[in-house]
Amino acid sequence: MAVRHAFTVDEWHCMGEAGLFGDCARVELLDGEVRQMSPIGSLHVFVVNRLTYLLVTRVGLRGVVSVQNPVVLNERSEPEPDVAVLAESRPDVLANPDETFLLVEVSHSSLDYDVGWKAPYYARTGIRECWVVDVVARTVTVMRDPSPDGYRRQQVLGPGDVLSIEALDGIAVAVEEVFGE
Amino acid sequence: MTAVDGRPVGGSSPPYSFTVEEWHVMLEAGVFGADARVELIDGTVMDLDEVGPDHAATVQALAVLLRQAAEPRAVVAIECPVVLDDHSEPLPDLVVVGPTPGDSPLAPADLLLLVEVSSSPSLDYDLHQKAPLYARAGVRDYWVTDLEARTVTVMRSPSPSGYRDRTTHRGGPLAIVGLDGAPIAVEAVFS
Repeated sequence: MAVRHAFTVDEWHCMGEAGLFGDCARVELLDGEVRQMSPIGSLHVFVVNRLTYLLVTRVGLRGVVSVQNPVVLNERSEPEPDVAVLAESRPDVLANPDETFLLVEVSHSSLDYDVGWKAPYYARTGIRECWVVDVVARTVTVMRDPSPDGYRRQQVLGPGDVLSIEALDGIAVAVEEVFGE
Repeated sequence: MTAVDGRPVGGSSPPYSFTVEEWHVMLEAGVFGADARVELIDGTVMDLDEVGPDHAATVQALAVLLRQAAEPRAVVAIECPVVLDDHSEPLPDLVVVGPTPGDSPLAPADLLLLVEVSSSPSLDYDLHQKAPLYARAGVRDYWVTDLEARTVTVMRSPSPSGYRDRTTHRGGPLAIVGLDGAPIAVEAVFS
């Protein structure tokens, strides 16, 4: 019977080139479906900017910090995570899971969606590490060891804890720093 | 609340609902390729079923019968898009259209009859998902042809909450409500 059309990344790019969604609409392609992204509030912006500063300064030349840019997960998914730490950035092709060290989603009202559906989807596509930053609870859920069933390891870090990136040795970010403390 | 596939519905990241205007941009831009069979239903792009030989033959048989009944006062079109509302442009199997169609896309008011040729599992979709949509849009006469049961379900008197009249016919004459021409025989549809 008639089923929802699952868009491919190629179709998605064609839609973008045709000028769909305008310049302002916040949409992403996830599992063949065009989904609206949450509006960004000031606290969200603040935390994304904090994370950008912290990750750029700590990762340095060992990776590229890509902010609110698309990552191609598979032929039907091209989300725009809040922050991605990539092995490299190239002029002719978007990042893929193999060269992605970390994806970060900053979450205000979308925590259930980000932790319950989006992160497991990232795991299925092989993204090796995902953080979901809860700006309300001021915690960071760190998820590692991706599998088809989701991340096998999941830990909620709060004040006093230190974030690290498994694929990059020696990086330390205190949770408080993420929230500007 | 979760959808069938386990992902949250609504909430903070709802599926994008395409408008008919955006749909036309997508079609003109060639997003789907020449062979794609797609329609826009309630803002969602749907893939149409593969057309089997039974389906194709019945559509052609119906087209012949409907043309005999309708012409020259009305025309019969196969797989012609109809703009139902701001977010829906289905591609029904057959429509019978009054004498006015011009260059603009078909609207519900242009239709004397809309027919879907169906078999399971699409039958349920056509009878229970599409019927309310067509009724809301004011399609005055909607027929669903069931290839397996060899019946035609006729829905009339559209209202915002659905069709008020629904009858299923195994045989006998069926008239297009907006035309006082000769009826078609249900048996002839499947012969």
